[in-house]
Amino acid sequence: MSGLELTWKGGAGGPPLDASALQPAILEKLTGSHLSGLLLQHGNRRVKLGDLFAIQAKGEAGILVIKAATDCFDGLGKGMSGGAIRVEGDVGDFLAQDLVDGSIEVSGSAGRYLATGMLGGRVRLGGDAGDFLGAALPGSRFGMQGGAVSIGGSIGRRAGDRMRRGLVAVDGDADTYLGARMIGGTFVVGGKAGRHAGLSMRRGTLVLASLAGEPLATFSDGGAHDLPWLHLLTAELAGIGSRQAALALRRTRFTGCAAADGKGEILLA
Amino acid sequence: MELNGVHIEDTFAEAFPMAGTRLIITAETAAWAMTAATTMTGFATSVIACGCEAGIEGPLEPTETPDGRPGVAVLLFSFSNDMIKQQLTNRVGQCVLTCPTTACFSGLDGETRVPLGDGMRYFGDGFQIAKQLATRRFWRVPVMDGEFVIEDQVGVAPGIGGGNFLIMATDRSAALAAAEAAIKAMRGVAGVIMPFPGGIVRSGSKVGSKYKALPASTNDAYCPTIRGQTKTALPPEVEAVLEIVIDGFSEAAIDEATIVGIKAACAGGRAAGVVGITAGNYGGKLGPYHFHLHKLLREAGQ
Repeated sequence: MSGLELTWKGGAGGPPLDASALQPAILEKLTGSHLSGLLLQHGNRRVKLGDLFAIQAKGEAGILVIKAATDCFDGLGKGMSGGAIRVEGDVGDFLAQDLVDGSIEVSGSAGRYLATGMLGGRVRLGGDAGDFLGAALPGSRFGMQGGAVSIGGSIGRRAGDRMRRGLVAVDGDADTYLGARMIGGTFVVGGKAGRHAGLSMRRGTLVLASLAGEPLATFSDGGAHDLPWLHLLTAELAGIGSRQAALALRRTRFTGCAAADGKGEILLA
Repeated sequence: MELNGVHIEDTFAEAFPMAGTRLIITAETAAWAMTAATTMTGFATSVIACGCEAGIEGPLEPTETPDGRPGVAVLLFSFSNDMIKQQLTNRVGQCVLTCPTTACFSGLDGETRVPLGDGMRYFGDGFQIAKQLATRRFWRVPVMDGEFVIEDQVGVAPGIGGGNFLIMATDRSAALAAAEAAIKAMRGVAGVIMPFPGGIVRSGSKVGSKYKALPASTNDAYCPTIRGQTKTALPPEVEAVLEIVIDGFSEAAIDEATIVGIKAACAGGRAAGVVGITAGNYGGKLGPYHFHLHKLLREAGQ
């Protein structure tokens, strides 16, 4: 048995494609007309996989390669529990939603709600991610709940909103409201984080290189400290493909948010 | 068989199954890591009275430790996982948590795991923080010099306790010098510890006693001063005997330690006052692991 390579026939733009069925475990069970005839929701129509993609059996079993992907691919890797997806290009919203295990690598950028509800596995994104990375969907109790996400570029607003567990490393900047209402987990930003970081966070850790303005008034300055556990974090960052080199161990520890449980922390270089 | 003129008795060491774990203790300096490890492995010579047998496997370079600081690997063996858990709670809680700058990690993978930081975290009184990195969970417990980082659980694996050999010499100094040389060489073997003081035992024991309350008593057959009162196992020229006990994770590791130790003990030969090497057993009926001295040395090319 070999892996699969799908090449998108359409160009950029176009209606959204429900790409949640594009998973090694689903596609590798299908052959011939069953595979090419798999129906995917594309805008308001259901279209055959073979009409949308050039399909080739190629590479190692358990690995799905998607070429020429565009930002209309929504829900890629949703609920996946194993195997690997490698994407050349961009993807849309809900990448790795509810991901259980396995790995997803995207060379380009992703849209909103990346890793929402994610439970495990790994995601590596070469470009930028939109708003609500690792955040809870409206009505959900939790955002990301496990696994690791590494972002090569920058991210949008409200990343980590109600995030409960897991690790996110961003090599670029983060927009406003990073880690708002965060419940746990670790969020590392190699660039600058926007204003209102950690608003109403209960627990969890924001490891930031710099912050726009002062920390919120609901955070207490606990002074500068050498924190050896950041060695462990540095080793883990290297393992998930983050480009951030050794983290500075000496950081100023702000604890808050006092408006919530107050057991969160911002570790500022 | 003779090794450098030293008689090697055709016998075997008899050893028993145990459960074991491996900890990595790190600190700001190698000296403080060693201080914590030494303290933690104190009073851990025999599982019968100490609850466990523990020792230092060896120092670790910063590149070999999870947090990139100098460290020490410690092995701890006991009869059951529950006993290991209890010993870890007491020993790490009192000797590593308390020691300046230290952190404590699992040094053993494996499906079977027992709590390590899972209980000690409560020392943080609600200020402790859990951190999950990949599959490993750590606790950051606030202490007066910063944070004590400890892994949530530690792996346990089947081990072997009671590998041994005895060095018989013409006098106490010669026996001690040979035993010290053996220990120095054996410390280079991974996966074993020699849990007695300095790695050496002078009070070898036999099972049972004339006193009903005692499960073990002095090994009179190897005590030189009472050779006229008991059935002695000592050649006439032997005036002192020292024993080295070995615990480890595998028969191969204990094999290697035994070979390395006997070779080092016999390096000076008969001229250094070493008369013979033997081993302790119970007739082979009690312990499932048998380390035959001749077989081991033959396989090692002697």
